[in-house]
Amino acid sequence: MTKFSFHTRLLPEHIKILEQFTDEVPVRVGALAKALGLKVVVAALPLKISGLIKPDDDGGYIIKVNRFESKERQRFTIAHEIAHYLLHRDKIQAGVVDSVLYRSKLSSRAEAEANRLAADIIMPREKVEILIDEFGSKNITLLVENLAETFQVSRQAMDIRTGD
Amino acid sequence: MKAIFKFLALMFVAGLSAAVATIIYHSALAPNATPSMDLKYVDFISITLTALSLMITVLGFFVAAASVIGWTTIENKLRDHSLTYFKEQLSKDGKLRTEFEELIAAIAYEGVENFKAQNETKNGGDEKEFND
Repeated sequence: MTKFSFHTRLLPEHIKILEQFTDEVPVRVGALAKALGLKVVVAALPLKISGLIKPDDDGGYIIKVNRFESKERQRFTIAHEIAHYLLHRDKIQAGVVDSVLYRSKLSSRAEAEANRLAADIIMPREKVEILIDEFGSKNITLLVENLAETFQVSRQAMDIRTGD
Repeated sequence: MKAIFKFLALMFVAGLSAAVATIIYHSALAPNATPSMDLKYVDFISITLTALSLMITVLGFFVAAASVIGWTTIENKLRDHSLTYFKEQLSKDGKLRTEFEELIAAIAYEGVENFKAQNETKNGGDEKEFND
């Protein structure tokens, strides 16, 4: 049983890479993408767009994240696009452009799946649980803040992660 | 539904009371009253029209009561249906919620489009590799 959602749909070699990179916190999403054969660039995208994934000229895929967004947001967007690559490669076709609400031409279900796997990648559940025990704060707000800082994600994302 | 039953019960009691009052009048208050045979045409018309107007009045009351009950029922049903509809539509991934979120995002980003253009010009709009 792996720690990733929808693991039955993931290739064994991809699971191996995911496990390798999610072992350290904060997860190096850029390096993870590179290990999966994806190119990641920061680009000036329209403000309503958080990121996109599309086929690259060299036959692989390229992920673009909006440079006007915060680093934490960019990290989650990369994880989200990686999740699209892992789960919905066959549906990417000419490209998938994700809005600030993480909506695209793909179905809401596909977007929800990508969000879930992205959360598993960037905030591995077992690491979160270990750190919750380690921090041991009774102040939930402070705990979420510390965790968000450690994982380099937004407080909102960590709030959802610790709440589910 | 409960209101309709209440209304019908009230009508039944009213009818019963009227019947009892008539019996009491004929048996106790005017036991020897005999019908008059020399009824004039004018009297007949006047009695008929009075009865007719009385019936129309009673019918009017019925219609008014039915309207009030009907309106209340429709109002309650509409309220219940609206609540169910909005709860469903505003739940996670609900269609209306999605619309609202997109509208809010559009409004939020509308005023800062020029900012983006300025930045792009300043920074040349180039792409650079993401570093962890």
